[in-house]
Amino acid sequence: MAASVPAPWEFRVHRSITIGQFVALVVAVVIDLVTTATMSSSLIAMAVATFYVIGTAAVPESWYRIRFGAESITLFGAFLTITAVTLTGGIGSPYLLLSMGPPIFATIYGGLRIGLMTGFLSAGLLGLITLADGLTLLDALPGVGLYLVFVLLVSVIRKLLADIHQQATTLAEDVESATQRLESLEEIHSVLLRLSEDISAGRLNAVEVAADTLEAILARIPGSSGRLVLEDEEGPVVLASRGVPPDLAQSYQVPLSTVDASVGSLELLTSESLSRADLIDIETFVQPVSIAFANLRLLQDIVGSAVAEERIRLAREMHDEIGPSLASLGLALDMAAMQQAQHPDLADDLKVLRTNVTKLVEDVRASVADLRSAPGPTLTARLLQSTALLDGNPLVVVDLDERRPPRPAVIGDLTSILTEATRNAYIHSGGSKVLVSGRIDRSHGVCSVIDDGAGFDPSREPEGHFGLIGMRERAEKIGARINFQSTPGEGTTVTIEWGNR
Amino acid sequence: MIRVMIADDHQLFAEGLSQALDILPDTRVVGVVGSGPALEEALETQPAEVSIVDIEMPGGDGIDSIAELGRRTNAIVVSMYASDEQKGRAVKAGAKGFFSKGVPLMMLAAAIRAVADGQDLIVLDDTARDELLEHYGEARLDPGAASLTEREREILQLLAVGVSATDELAERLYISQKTVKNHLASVFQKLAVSDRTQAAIEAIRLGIARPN
Repeated sequence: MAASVPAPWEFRVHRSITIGQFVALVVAVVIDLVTTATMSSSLIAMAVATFYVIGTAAVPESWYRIRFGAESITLFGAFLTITAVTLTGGIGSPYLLLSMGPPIFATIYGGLRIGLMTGFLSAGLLGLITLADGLTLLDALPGVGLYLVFVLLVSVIRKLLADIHQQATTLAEDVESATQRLESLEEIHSVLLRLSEDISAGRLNAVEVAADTLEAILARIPGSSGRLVLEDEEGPVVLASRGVPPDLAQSYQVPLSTVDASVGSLELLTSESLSRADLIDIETFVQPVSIAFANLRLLQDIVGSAVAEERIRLAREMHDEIGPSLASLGLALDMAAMQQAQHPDLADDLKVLRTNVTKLVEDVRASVADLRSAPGPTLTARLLQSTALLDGNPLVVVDLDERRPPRPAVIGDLTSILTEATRNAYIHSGGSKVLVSGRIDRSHGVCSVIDDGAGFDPSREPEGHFGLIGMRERAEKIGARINFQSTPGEGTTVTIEWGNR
Repeated sequence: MIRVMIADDHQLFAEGLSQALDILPDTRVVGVVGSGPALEEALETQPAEVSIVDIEMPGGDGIDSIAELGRRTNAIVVSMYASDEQKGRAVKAGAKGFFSKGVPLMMLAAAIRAVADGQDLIVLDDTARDELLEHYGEARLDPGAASLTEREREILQLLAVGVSATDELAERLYISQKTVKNHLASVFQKLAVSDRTQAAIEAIRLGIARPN
């Protein structure tokens, strides 16, 4: 109790007792002056009692809270008051009421034990004075008993007050945490609402969910940055990264998990340390996101295996039926051409037909090979991942109409070219938005990276700047056409086109 | 004459290939089977210099059988799904050639001649392989058939279209009937046949004559 922060009720009790002591002093002085003949001892008693009362009122309240403070003050007070009592007639003294002040103070600040000890000390001294005056212990009993009753009473009241105070504090804390929980729930609710909007709009993807989640969390922690990492089959994938890491940052890792699986983790760097309660709150907050990720993964698995089954079925049909039938047709044409050697025109027509059939067989073979190779991520998914770290300003938007992913032979280079163009626009354009748009199918497509920034004069821009040469070389390698279109002040558009429509 | 065994589960392709190889003068298909194990079994009783083998067949993989067969036949893999991995397997098993099913008949025929002649095509790159195959583009006839004279070939062509009487042949070729008989005797010997009908059939089969 000694070093704790004073509760408001203790101030009020302290003040009440101080005032009570003044009243008791005045009453005692008046009674003593009226009834007593020995003026000198009365004056000394008055002086001692007044010193005590003013002293207790003057001593700063904090002195009671230092170690042994309350004990020392009340012990000294007990001696002073008992001295006044002794000087003015012992057990019948008008200062007897005032001498109950120190035990009461001791009870308030030191608890029941200290209170009782001070009470017993005063009572003991009182008993000795009574015996010294020639009276029996029986005469001292009312006085001593009074002390003990008082001390007990005060301590009970004190305990009641403390309990009430404790309950009030607990109640306030409960209200506080309930309010916080409610706010968390509201945010979770809004995130879920956004998720359901995304689902209904058909644009649910892990990157957007991750970005939304991360932004919502960082908004609650000032001066923080973070990354949201998803555990993929091929290792961890950074889905979103926001904010600038603060100096001397504290690092936290919040697991993203559902009941039966670990989905990933949220990595936070904060300028101020987070409490355990904060972390629990964040964990609660990311719970629906973990479930959303797990569901997304499940959905992808289901769609993936359904697609895989269909691919296998198609591949088998092409491999077992369509391909050999075409090949057999080719052989029949070869035979016919041989037998019609004496009719050159007909033989030539047959050879043209044969060439077409050969091309068809090769197409079937390529399709079978494509269908049998595991389907990789789409161009959209690759770009979303490669540009995930480009956030904020300018805003990077990937909006591709991708019917089927480009062929495995070109998709890697296409991803590199478009990522490079997007990075250039992000770093150098100074615009507010970079849009990657286009239409893509398996064998052909056209994509543009458009920014609304400063632009440049294409005739004066030195080649080699911004990796333009590298982009051109890559495009050439996969037989794609790349075009840079820019006007100073009107932004830049990089267009890449590949395959034949 | 090169004897060829075909192992392919796709009936239409196998029969088409069989017919196509049979009209070539120097190849004869001696059996068509539908699986690897069936190929092994068929070769027990019917030898073949060359086997055309598909990879994936319901009854058993073709490449496994190539390894089993060893030197008993020269295997050429002709498959729909010709991936590098499958080609690697074929090389290990000892196949001598590896083609897609889209392969033109003349190229396959050249490959059959080449592997029957002891060549190993599978180790060559495409350019070297095609160069080598050019040498095998023409049918290799038996020594007898190869030694037929121009006049003897003319007589065989006439036999193939149904002109078989000695006087008619003599009239058509502006030669004496005695000379016709001499030529015919030479042809019978070179083709190892005993009459004009057999000679006509063999001439058509060898591609020396056409029946129309």
